[in-house]
Amino acid sequence: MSYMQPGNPAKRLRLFMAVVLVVVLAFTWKLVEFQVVRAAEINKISKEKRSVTRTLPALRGSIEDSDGNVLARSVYRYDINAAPVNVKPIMRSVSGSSVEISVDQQAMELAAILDMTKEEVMAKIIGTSNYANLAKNVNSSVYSKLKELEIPWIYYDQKLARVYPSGAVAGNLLGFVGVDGEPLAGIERQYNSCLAGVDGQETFERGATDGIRIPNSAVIAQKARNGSDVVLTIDSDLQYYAQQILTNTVSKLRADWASAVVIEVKTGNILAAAEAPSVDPNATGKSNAADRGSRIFQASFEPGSTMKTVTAATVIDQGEATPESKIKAPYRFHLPWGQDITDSHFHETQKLTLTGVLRDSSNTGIIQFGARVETKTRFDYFKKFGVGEKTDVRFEGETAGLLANWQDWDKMTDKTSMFGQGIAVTPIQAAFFYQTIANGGVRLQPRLIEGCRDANGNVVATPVKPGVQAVSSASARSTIDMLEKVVEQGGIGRTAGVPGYRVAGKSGTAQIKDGAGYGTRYAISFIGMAPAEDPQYVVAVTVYKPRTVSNSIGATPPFKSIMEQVLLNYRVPPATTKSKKIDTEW
Amino acid sequence: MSTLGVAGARTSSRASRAVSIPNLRSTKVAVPLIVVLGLVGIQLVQLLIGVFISQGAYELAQLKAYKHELGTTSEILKAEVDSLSSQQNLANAAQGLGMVANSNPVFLNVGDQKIIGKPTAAKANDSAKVARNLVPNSALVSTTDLGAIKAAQAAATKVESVKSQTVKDVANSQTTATKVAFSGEGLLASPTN
Repeated sequence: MSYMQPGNPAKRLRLFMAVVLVVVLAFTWKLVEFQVVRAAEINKISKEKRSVTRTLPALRGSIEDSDGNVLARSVYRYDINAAPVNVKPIMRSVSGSSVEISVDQQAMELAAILDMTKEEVMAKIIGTSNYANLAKNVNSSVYSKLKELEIPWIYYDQKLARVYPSGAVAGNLLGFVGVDGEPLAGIERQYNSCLAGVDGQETFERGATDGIRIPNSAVIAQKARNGSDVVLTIDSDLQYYAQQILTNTVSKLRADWASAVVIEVKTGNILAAAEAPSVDPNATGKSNAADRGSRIFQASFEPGSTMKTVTAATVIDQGEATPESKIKAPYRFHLPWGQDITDSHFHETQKLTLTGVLRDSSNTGIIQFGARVETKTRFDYFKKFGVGEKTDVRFEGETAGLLANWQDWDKMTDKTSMFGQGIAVTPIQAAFFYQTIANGGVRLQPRLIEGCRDANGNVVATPVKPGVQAVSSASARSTIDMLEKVVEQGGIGRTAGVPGYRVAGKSGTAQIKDGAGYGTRYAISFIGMAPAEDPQYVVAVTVYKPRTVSNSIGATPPFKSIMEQVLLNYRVPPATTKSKKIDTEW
Repeated sequence: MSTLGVAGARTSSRASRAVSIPNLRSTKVAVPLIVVLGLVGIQLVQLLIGVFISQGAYELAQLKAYKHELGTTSEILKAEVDSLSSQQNLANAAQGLGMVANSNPVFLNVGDQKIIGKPTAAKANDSAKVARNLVPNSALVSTTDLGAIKAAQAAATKVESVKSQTVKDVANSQTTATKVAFSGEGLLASPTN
């Protein structure tokens, strides 16, 4: 048996202490290195592993009609993706017991919800990749049904999209947004600064294992600011009604397109700006590219005889005629330089008053009255009525129409401009010629947007500008009295009358430029106001290039239907007075 | 201990003044104990707060998921309401139920009790009116269940006819007999004349 030698305990102790010291020093050095020298760097790496930066999406504002009905709003849509590498049978609890659901069965369930075939789904989910898109932009209903399947290899990408609950109602005005949410047309683009919000951003830390957000770790770098709402002057029910009527008209007359504008006379508010064909912003691909804008603001054409109202008001305002001033109106009027101007239909020379000229829409009559006013003065009146000038709506792609300087008018344009040739106007401009007459001679600017309303309900209203006094109140009243006779007695005008009401208006059958000359198809229109005793509403209907009719008889039925609806909608009681007695012939 | 005892004896022998001597040993133990217990207590409170906050984080995550679920439900319902209240659905439903718009409004002036306008029945074949919907809307996700409305109407008509038949029976019986009391749903509540 051998025993350990006692040795030198003090020496062993010193050696042990030295080793301990070295170890402590090493640890201390590492501690200092981690906690002090590389602390910032290590913290950063650690935080980067835990922290998540997330965009806080801002909702785009809504577009509403004047009654608060939503015409456009933001919704969530989902892209449905799969990870084929993880596709396998799953266990599902059915009636309390766990049942295995095969891949085939899962594919069948997915296909039924996604409106696909099982084979289509199988083709996408078989493989070893981590990503396969099954469907894009599915709505919340589909998303909810998919979630209920609890398939672990299905992933959802949520994104914001735009929906237009009323479909094509006011679709031509609203415009639309692209797949990335970028506004591409109409009010969506024009008022993007009001509608668009500002995305926010937050950073937070989450647990490595469960992905749960670590409390108090969120740092919101920027709060999301939702967009404001655009409020329109449009009455969506009236707009729908007008679109129904126009769609029917375009179909019946086999026209290229038609438009109808309803104006509130005293405010200039556009209550309806309807078009056919229209565009459903939910599915713009289903409409022709040419039908996706608003021709009411973007298309200009020679207005034809609706312009005679402006010429008649000018002549009266200048004191050169009264509603009962007389002329002889032949079928053909020879001009001194050899050219002729004719009426649309042959007739014997008629003895007409200015009112009769409007009633019969006589070209030869109106040029004789118009000639009593100098060219420059007539030009100035055109300007006061808004010819050749963009409206304050400044709709995307709006055109100013065409009004050449009076010095540039040739001798023929000097004459033809009196009955709406040689100039070009948009449907909205034409409607406001009649708003001017209806409003005591004061032309207001059209208002399509009530304003921009923020989240607190504060509305930045579109300003109502003071109007332009184009003609005197008395001249405007005389013009209305004459236009009433058009509806009471005119061959075509009569078909625009609304039983029980006093309506004033004028038809127009305009030739359409085709190269150097005119084509064989027309732009027909009827613009009128009611109740004529105190006009409140103007309705302007245009039908472009109808094939089944060649005069404005095609435009009066839609005018009448829309005006009837306007009077009913706004509870305008039938007339209790009669129109002024004016002679139309002598 | 003995030193203290000697000192104490010496003091007591020198003067009658009594001096209380702190228990240095117990003080030496108590202070660190309090510090340690305090630290442990703080750690425990911190731990508990941590547990609660962590629990709150999970609850928050659950609530957020629930909020998302409710948001989804809200969107689904909104889409349905949008569809059902859309002009397109209402026009189709009105047409389906045989409704016709009347273009002859009649107003009653309450002030002078005058009727303004000529009451005229709506024409079923008014060519200027467009009944069926012509304005597209691909956002429609649901439409009015006309079958259910018609079934409800038919049921209501049946009840009405039962009521009217009952009223006739009552009238007939009252002519031959004294008052008859009725009770029950759809029947006259009181025979009182």
